[in-house]
Amino acid sequence: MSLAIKMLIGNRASCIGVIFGIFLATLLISQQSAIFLGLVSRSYRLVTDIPSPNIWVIDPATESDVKVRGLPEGYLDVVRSISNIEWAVPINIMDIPLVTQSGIFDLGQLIGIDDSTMIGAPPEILEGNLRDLHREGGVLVDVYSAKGSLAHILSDGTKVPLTVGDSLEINNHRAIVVGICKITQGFYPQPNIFTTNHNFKNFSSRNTIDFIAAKTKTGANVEEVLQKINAFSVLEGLTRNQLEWRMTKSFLKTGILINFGLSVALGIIIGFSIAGLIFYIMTLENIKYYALIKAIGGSQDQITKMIAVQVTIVGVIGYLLGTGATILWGFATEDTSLAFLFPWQLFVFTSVIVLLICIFTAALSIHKVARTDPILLMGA
Amino acid sequence: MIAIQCKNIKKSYGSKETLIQALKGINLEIEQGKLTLLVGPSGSGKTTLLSIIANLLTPDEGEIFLLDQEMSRMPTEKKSEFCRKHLGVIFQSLFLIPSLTVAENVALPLIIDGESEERAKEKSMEILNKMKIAHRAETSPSNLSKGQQQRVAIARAIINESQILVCDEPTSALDQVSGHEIMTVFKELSTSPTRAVLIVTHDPRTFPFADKIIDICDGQIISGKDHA
Repeated sequence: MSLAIKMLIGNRASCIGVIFGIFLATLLISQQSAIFLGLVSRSYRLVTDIPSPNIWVIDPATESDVKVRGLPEGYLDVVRSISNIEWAVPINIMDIPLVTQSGIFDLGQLIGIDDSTMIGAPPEILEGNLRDLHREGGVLVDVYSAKGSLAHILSDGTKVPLTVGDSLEINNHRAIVVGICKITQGFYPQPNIFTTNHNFKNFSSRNTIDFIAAKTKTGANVEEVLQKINAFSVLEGLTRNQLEWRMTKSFLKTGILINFGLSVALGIIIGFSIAGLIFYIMTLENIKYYALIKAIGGSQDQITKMIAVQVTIVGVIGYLLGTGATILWGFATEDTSLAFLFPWQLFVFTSVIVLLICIFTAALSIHKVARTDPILLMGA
Repeated sequence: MIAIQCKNIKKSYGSKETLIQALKGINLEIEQGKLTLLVGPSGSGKTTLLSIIANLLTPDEGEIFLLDQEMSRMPTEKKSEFCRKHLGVIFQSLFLIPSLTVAENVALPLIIDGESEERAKEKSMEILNKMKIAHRAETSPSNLSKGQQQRVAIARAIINESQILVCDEPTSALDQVSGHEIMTVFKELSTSPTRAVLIVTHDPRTFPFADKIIDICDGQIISGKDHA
């Protein structure tokens, strides 16, 4: 083993080249996948940011929070009347024009939450009080847009974050900021404004319901409840996972999967080509020494093990560096507008790809060495 | 005792129009305790014969016995084991591994044979001491002179106490003094009654060290006489 390691590090440039190839492949695969998964997770943030309901009821045509067909208001009572439903509340959502005090126009996403239970409220209130949403025109603004697109711009160009007590114009109606909240950001970098459904109707002049969030009674069979909901042709009942998947599918229609898929494919190609090629060249440089080992009685098994050890070392170092860089990227982009999600499955996926790269790299070299006849030593 | 015995060894390269008969029925015997030179002009077949003796080539016809064991019918694994234990080969280009130290290069056959690294290194230091090059044990072989590199290659070939030592053109890249020193080493090694040393060469400076000189020309042994 030490012989394999010494032969590996003895060829420093090639060794670094192979490690760099695997590092680059790991970085591209894991980082691009993590960004992609981060964006995908944003597409169903409505579901993840509201943890209490276990059932969501929508119009069958609704695909996501940006492609919604509203339900007539009366269906809220229909859902509430279904047996084993403990509670059901309306959640509304729509894109709406905003104008800041500085006169800046933007298109924000207005989210209407249940007036009485406040279900649908953002998970974290940083400033202000949630109950103040009951004030006429009261809204919560997400912290990213409060500091960004909705901030006041002074005459000297400095930005002053929007704060509690400031006012906005929402669809030609006056709104008062009663709180600043932290939420999962959406795919589009637009302001997220939370208000009660009562205020939502005033701002939007709409009388439909976009989503009904519901909770089944303890011990109830969720499948049976969903069947009862789905018996109404204008309603579609979904579990949390089902709605997440529907929103994901809608999001993937944008073609984003192909774009990120190409980046990941590029990482894989880089891994196979750079690591495979440089390691193969390194083996060619060492071929006479492998032939020597054969000539003095070394077996092909011993040489195969040597190459396997070398590939394992560069593979593990390259993988750890690449994954480490991706994790650092994740920490660096925390609390920014950049999307990032690194689940354990991504670790496994990247490991499998790196393993395949290493197997390919080792196989190329082992095949070459296996075909090498020690008689070449006599030809010098 | 006879260490190497070749019986009617034939070897050809190419086919039909391009067929070259490198060895045309070689019969020879190399004894232990002697330094034997295999001499002949370029293309005479001496390197082919050495390759067959070193188990790097298989003859088309004939039998080769090393220490009374017929090699061509020996299974590959057993043949590898035999080479590890009884055969030392010194190639013209030496092939010292530059990423290993001198001591590690010498210890290589023992490590491959499964000896612990510590023990192999100990043994390599003993051999390097005998070869008067122990003071360079921890350096890279690329930092050594040609003569010193040749000594390292010899040390590597004899570390497993091989009874057969074969060497291809050991003095071709050496000056007068270094060549003389190396041939003295070979001479000393050949005095062991259990070791046979066979050297392929066309360097006349080596002739005075020989116990026996075998002339080969055009794939045939012309003469094989004891050297006074």
